[in-house]
Amino acid sequence: MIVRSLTRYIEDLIRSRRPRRFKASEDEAAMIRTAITLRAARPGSGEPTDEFVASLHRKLAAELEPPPDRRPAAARRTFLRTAAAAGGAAAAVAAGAGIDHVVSSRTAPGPAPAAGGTLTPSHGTWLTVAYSSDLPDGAVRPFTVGAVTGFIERADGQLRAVSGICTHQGCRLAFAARSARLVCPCHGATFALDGTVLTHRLPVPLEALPRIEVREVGGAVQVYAPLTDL
Amino acid sequence: MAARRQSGPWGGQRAGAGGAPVTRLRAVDSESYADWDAVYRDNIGLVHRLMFAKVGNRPDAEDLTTEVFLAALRPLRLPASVGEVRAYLLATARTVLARHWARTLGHQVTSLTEDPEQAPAAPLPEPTAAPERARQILAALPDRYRQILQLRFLEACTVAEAAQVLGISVANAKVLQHRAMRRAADVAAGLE
Repeated sequence: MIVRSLTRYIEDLIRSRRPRRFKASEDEAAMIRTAITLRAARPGSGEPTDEFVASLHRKLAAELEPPPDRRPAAARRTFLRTAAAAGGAAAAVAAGAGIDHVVSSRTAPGPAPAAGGTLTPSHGTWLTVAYSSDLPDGAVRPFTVGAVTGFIERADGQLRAVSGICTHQGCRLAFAARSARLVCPCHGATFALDGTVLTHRLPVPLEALPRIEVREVGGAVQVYAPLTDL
Repeated sequence: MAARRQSGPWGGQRAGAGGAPVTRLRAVDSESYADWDAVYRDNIGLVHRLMFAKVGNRPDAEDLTTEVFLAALRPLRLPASVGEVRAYLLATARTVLARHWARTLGHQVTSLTEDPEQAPAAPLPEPTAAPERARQILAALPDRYRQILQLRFLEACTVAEAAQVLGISVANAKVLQHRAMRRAADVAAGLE
């Protein structure tokens, strides 16, 4: 028999909502304990968000610092600037964009664009990442070629490739075969193989993964990627 | 060990050893914290990860982390060594977590156990045991049970998505998940 309070509690854990209290039996407590163990094993899920770290810092500054001689606002600004710069720099590396651009777009209000676009290197070329025979219909393969890391898929005869780097802070994504999605080990964001964002618990908008141009020539699967010898 | 913790920066004796100038010193090495800001920056991630591993959801982990820092930082006399501060944060976290379970489910579902062998300078325990423990639990389950739990807990699938992957109805997926949880709890009890 399924007990409703328990089922709801476990569902809340899975979706990272606040679970509702109830009078649990020993058996129910044991199941919740196990559910917590499994949930805590989801990659990166225990990391605090930048938003929480900054807001608790503000709260503590208000509690602990005497207003007249020390200025909590100044400390807070420094702290936020540091956090924003760190996040922005990582995102810049991930996107291969200029650091100035990413930091300024983070500071500016308004949501980030949802589309990841297509990787268009200034000096690109077609590079072989797999043999056609290694990529039957339905297969997904990770690849790294020069500066680009990604995943390539053949579905219904069509090839497609996306970047394998999380658009949040640049962690390398892992492919979860059963659910056919890409999972970030750092904060648990998940992406579909076409690059769209499926789930994330971040306080900032998350961009889709850039797509990568892909073609098949003479039994070789190739992606359009930058030349690394500059 | 316990004696040393209590006579640490919260015993009230430290400031007497040389008077005010002591508190003016800035920490120049990584072994001590000069101010609350340094304590916070260095430990916020640790405390949050620890709490998340013990409650399994973000809203509760954030509330409990907040409670720990609000309770611990005010009585803290700084500068203090990293080991002393972390032992104190851990002791505070232990109490906060126990209170949380008493008030929500009426059972000590999880706890931060006191380790009498732990040296004062030891870092906060990283909750790295969770993935390994989860792996052991999952490995001991029949295939279908393992699959549904992996899809839902580790890959963040909804019930409907998991049902689709497994080729079963949503209602069957719910039943399968519940049975899998029950079996997993038995396995976990056996691992203790």
